[in-house]
Amino acid sequence: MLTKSVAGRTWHFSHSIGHFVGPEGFTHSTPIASTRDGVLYVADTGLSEYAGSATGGALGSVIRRRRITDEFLAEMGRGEVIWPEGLALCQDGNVWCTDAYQHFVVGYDREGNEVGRWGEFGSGEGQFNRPSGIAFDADDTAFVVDSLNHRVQRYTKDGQYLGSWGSEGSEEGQLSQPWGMTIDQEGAVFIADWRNDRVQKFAPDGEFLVRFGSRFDDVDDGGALNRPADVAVDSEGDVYVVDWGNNRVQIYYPDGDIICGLYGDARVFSKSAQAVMDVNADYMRAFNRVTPLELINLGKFDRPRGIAIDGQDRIAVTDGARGRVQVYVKDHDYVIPQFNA
Amino acid sequence: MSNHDEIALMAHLMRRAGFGADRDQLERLVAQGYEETVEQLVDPPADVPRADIDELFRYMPSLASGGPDTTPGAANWLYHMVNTQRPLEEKMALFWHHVFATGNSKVDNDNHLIAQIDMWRDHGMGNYRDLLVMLAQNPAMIYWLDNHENHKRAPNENWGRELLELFSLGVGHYTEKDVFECARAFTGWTIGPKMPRVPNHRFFFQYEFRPEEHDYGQKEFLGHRGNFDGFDIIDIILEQPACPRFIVRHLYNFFVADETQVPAWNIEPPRDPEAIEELAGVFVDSGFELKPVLRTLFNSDFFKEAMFQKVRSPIETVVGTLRMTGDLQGVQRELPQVSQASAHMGQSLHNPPSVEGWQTGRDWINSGAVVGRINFVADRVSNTELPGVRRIVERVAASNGQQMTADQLVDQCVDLVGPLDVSEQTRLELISHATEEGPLSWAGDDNWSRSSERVGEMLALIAATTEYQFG
Repeated sequence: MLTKSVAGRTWHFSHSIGHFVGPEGFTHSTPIASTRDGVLYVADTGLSEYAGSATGGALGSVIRRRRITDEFLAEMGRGEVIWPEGLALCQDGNVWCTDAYQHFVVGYDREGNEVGRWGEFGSGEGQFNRPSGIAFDADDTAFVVDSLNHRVQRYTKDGQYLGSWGSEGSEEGQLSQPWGMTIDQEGAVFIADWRNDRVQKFAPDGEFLVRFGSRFDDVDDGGALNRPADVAVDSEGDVYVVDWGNNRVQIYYPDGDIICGLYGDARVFSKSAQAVMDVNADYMRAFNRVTPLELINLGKFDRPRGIAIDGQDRIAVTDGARGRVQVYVKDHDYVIPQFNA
Repeated sequence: MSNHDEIALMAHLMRRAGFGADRDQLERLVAQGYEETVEQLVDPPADVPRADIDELFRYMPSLASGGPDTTPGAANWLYHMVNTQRPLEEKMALFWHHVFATGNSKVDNDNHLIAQIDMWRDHGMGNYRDLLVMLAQNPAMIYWLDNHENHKRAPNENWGRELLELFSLGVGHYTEKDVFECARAFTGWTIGPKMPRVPNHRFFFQYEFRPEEHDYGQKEFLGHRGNFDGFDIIDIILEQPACPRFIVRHLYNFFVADETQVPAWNIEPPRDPEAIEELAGVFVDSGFELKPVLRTLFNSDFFKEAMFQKVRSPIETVVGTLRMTGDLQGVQRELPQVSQASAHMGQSLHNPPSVEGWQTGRDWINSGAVVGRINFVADRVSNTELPGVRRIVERVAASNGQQMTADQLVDQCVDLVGPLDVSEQTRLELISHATEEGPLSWAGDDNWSRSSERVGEMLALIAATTEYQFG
């Protein structure tokens, strides 16, 4: 649905960004971060795993900065990050990326200059085994998901180790190969607990607070998750979970009950995709043969991977296997039109 | 049976029904028993895991799909073969990929080859009739053999011919008229239009039956007359005595001992006619279920007596080496690169040379392929940092106190990579090499380090022997 109204809330599909081809397009868009005014940082694993050498690295992993309105600004990290798993912005505007292959965290300024790097392989303090999600709290303390050590570590933004919490398991408060994360305005920490098919909310010191996802319930209320990849919280406290294995985004009340899901609605091409179609009549003719019913498939998420929400509650979801970002807007002033009532 | 013979027999089973096993695993399986091991391979419990595909796609999402390039799909499959604990599922997927050969050289959309292999993994040990129906409705196969161009008023015979010649009966058991009538029965079994791939990546073809394209008229097929459709044709094929014999001969060729090449099967009798008749009988009696046939095959005397009577295929060589040495376990960035090793030895996954599949047996060996094969194995077995090689070194070191003669080094290494059955001449040549540096000592770090290297060198030499090329 292009507009979805549930429980007094309304979401509109806005637009999509990027496409599979072209130097500024995505191949496999992965984690994403957003400033409050809608400047997005999107990592892309590219095709480097098998095509990188043949293309001189042109299709390797990279982080791109662009406005949520689909204006490309800059790129960074090409040839330096390999398996980008998490992105986060700190107060000074630098972006930090976790690299699950090289087991470190690396930071870049707006122009793409490296500003810091910390971490090494291992299970001790200051060491990582496939670092994944990352987020900064209001004091610029970095929280890093240390995925194969099944824990969360805390650092200063200069990389000084502060502490960690978490252990492997499926009990309340335990983690199993966690992936993405976020921190809300109150400082609570949300972790996509990947192998446990749930999201857990913690106090900053690691105290368990709330669980999202119904795998461990007797009755499925529609809020089930299958390998959740990332999580974000909007200005009203609603919680958005990228349900990677079910190709959707689940939206929950702050207490963990399900509200609804988003399934992807990008039936209109992004600006850059349209530019490709405009100069290639064969592509356009091919699309003209597609029935309106089949066009619904064009919009669906295919392995959605990351999510970020800006200060206006514009919700950007990386649509991994479709090589794009889909943007929704939460409408705070929506009134059902009279003729539709 | 001596313990050595039991280990050798179990190693034979694991090479054929899987990709080999290290000595620790072989000892555990011998303790468990041969028939119980066969049962676990043929009908693994639900909690025995495959490779974790979510883990692969999390870190390497580009391996979930492919276009004209088969590398992502081959890497995806290599990951399955190296990491699964249900190895016979992967072997059966390889078997059907060879018998129902489909190539991306024409399909040009490797997503569909990945999906087809997933189908063989899920159903490859199921019912053969079900497999034929799935095959007839598989988009990659429909495109590969042009059934999307098989129309009521212009029947295209490609699919119909290969269904009879290569997928069920073999040459000599049908007429040209049967081919034509078979093609008519499959008219309208096609693929629907799909979303264009640009600019939002590839979408899947879907099987589609189009009644307006289907020939509902009367047909004569293999002595039967009626308004047959594809399902009826498959049922009539299964009634032919040639069908079970043809499929179990493929199974014999793949799992037991090298046969002549398939095109010669209508003039060359089977290597072991009694075995073929026994397996064919089980196949028919079970209603064309694969598991009873596999169970009978692996428990048979003709299987147990067929050690080293098959040339290892390139992919068996690659996966067997990776599993033995412990290389490339889990999700590793090198998967795409290593996935091309078997292609360099003559077996490009997702791209068989034709609808006949690969020429097997001694045709795997030629001057180019054998160098690639030996180098691939030698590079790994000589790397004493790899966990599997380290375990072999530790076993060799523990076998004879702190000193070891050249003879003992050779015998230990030959035993631990198989046990391998080498000729006396090969053994003497290996001993000759080992003797050049004298006896080995495991006393002290320096001696241990050099002796470890010598074990690795000996394993590499063994990999280059004629005997090692047989599995």
